Amino acid sequence: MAWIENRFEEGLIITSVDTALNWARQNSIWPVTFGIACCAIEMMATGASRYDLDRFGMGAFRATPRQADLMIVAGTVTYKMAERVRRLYNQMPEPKYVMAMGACTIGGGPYFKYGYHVVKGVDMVVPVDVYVPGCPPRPEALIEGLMRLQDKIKKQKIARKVRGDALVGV
Amino acid sequence: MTNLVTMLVFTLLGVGFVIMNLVLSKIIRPDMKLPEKLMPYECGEVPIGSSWVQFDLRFYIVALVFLVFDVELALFYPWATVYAQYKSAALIDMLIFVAVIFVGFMYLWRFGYLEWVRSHVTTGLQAGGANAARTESLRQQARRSSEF
Repeated sequence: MAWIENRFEEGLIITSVDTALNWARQNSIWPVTFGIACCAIEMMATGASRYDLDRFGMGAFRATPRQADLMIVAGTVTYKMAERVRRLYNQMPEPKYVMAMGACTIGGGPYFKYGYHVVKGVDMVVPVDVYVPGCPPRPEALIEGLMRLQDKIKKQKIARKVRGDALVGV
Repeated sequence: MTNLVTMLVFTLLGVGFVIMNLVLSKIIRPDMKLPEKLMPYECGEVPIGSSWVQFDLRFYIVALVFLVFDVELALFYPWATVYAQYKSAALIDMLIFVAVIFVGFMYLWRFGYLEWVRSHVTTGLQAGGANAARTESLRQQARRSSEF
């Protein structure tokens, strides 16, 4: 039989282009520094040494959206800010992902009832991939959101068309 | 002859590798044409004004001074190849050449063209003579302000 048969574990030597590309993409997600309010503090804590983001390849926070893959919307999005959020999202190159961090970005959060100035959920402005609940979410929760995003990237295919919202990912 | 063939293969492989990477990326990557991607980045705002600023003229002076001394350096090389043959005569010859260039260097240094931050007291021909006292006091002020 072939020398290579049954010698290595599955996926170690022979893999598919999809898998290789997705592995590269999910382990080097570069976020754009987009901390708006209190969730930014938790994002900074997640990037610091105790809950390290750099071990996921995510330590390089880019200052410009043109070099970033992921936009972690960390904080309350007001109507004034929403225009800038959308413009920055449009300036990111594909494939791009959005993570809604914190209760304010999921559905308005504590400002849902009386906040006339708050956009009730950032998914009214940009298409969101992962929602991370919490007020603010603990760094472990943010890391779990990141790992869910990695799972989502793992399912991408480069040659097959994706139905639905074509703005995000593939 | 085989050296040239090796160089040709090397060049073709290098250029071919770059082209292959660019073509592969173009095939694989998704691209959505949005007008904001062509706009200059201004932290999310609509850009105000032109993004072309005036060129700093000090770079011109740097380039000019560099050019002069680089030409001098280029003239050193043929001299260095024959130095072993004409030792003292070559040395004296080159010292005269360097002395002429050195006069130009002293001019640059004295009149402040080598300073990056220039105050008006170091420019022009006022550095001496009848204005000596005023020049000295202004120079002291410039020195104090450049300590920050």
